[in-house]
Amino acid sequence: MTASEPGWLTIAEAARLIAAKKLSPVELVRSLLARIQQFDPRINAFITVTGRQALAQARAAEKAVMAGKRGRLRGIPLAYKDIYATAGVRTTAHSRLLAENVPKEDAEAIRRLAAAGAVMLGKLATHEFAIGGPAFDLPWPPARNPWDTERFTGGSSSGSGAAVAAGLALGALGSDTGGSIRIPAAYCGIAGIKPTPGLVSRRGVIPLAPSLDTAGPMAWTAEDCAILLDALAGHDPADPASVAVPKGSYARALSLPVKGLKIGLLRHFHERDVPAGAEMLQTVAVAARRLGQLGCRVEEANLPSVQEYNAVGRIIISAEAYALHEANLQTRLSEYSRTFRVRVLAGGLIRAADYLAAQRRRTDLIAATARAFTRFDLLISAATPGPAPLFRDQRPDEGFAIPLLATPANVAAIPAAVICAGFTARGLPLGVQIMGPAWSEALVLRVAHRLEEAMGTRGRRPELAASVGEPAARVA
Amino acid sequence: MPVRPVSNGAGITPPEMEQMVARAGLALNPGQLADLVLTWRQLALLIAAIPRERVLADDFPFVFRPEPPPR
Repeated sequence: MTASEPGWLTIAEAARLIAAKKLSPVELVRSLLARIQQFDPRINAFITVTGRQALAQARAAEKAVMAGKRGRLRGIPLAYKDIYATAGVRTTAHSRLLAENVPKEDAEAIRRLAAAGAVMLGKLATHEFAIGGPAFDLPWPPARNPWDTERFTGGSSSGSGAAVAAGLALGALGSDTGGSIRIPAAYCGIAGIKPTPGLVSRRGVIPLAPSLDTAGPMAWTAEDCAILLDALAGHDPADPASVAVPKGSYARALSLPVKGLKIGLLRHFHERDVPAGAEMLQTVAVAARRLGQLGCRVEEANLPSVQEYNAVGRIIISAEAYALHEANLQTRLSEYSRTFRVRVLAGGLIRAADYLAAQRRRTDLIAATARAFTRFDLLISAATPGPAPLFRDQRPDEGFAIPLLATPANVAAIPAAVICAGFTARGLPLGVQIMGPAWSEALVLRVAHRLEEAMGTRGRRPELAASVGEPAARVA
Repeated sequence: MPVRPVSNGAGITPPEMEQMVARAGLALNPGQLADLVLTWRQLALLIAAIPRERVLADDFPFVFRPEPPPR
């Protein structure tokens, strides 16, 4: 029961090998723990590595497999953004304020993955409380991009993007309030999906802005995201935001045809609103052509500008994040990173009338987006204007000035996936975003899967350098 | 005609900012205050960009649904 490069297996491949008893979950987990020890000191994806617990879970999974129990996540090693509560394992939100916070219960999403037999390798880096950017004044360093460690991973699910891209975990959980799953997925060359609000329980996930927060999976492929979403999706009566919707299998729906689908190309998003670089424009154009070759009808589509969605999103996020953190900001201000303070403090100055104006405008934007889906089954755009930027070019005080191509889907309350659609000449990943109407995750993932196959990017992995020195993560 | 808020302009002065910060219950050092002035100017532009033209009867987008009474 062995595999030559277990870290480079997809969840689907590992599940097939485990089910056929050709891969031992214990050997798989040992191999990934060794990779974390070897490579993570340069990547900084992990805040906490739960080695002993992971091996115990892997042994239980192996026993279950040998006893004939099935399930595509049984024995699959995953890691979780450190805002998901994990019983008995510290949950820091990458913040000094929660450095010793040890929850008593698992978040519902963690509970569902554990019930499906998944193995937790540890807890992953994020931007502090899932907002801001890379910060160097916190107890743990920011995650680095495995394709070039001088570059940013994107965020806030920074460790999730880095861990999956580096083959340190086969899948991860992220969260997405304004693009926090999809931007690191794009910069790190992996797949991720922000679901419709209410599909995946947020109970036990440290909130940023409850009006916009969503929890979701990140993995090497869209197919792996579908496998994870099969376990994650479902009504949670204890989460007031959870919605009871009919549930099918996202993974099984991947094989349905895409021929005849009408795809709207949001050219103005990445050509006018947030002008993308030449390599990104070329990648989106190729993706549109590939969709046409798959039998889809691709036509230009229009929505309100990215700036309009971003204005609404930024006001809501700032006001709600400030409200959640107000007591600590008034008494423990210096314990937060400068990046967090810069992004959140201004929320304390927003008037109630302005916050409500943003919420009311959001209803207009939700309606305008829904109207576009009367003409199109899906919409596509660039995920980011270009590849991952260098750390040295990051400016925390430009937090509100740069609109994000990912935020419209949060404001519009729709599902959106990102896949790796190509690479720059320097070998950096470029992502394409696929958006659908509310509750269309199965369709979004089906097209993401087929486009990903057609773009042929999944055979390429980052070249990692082994590390020497002290690891950033604590091993439990 | 829509009425624009006058207190949230991007051209806020440091004394005005100090007043707003005090009202929010925050104690900031000069560096933190300078950061806040910079980001508030960006946020104020976004606030100014939100259209206010709505009919008076438009509901707020919050819906609170009490459980129906027991039958």
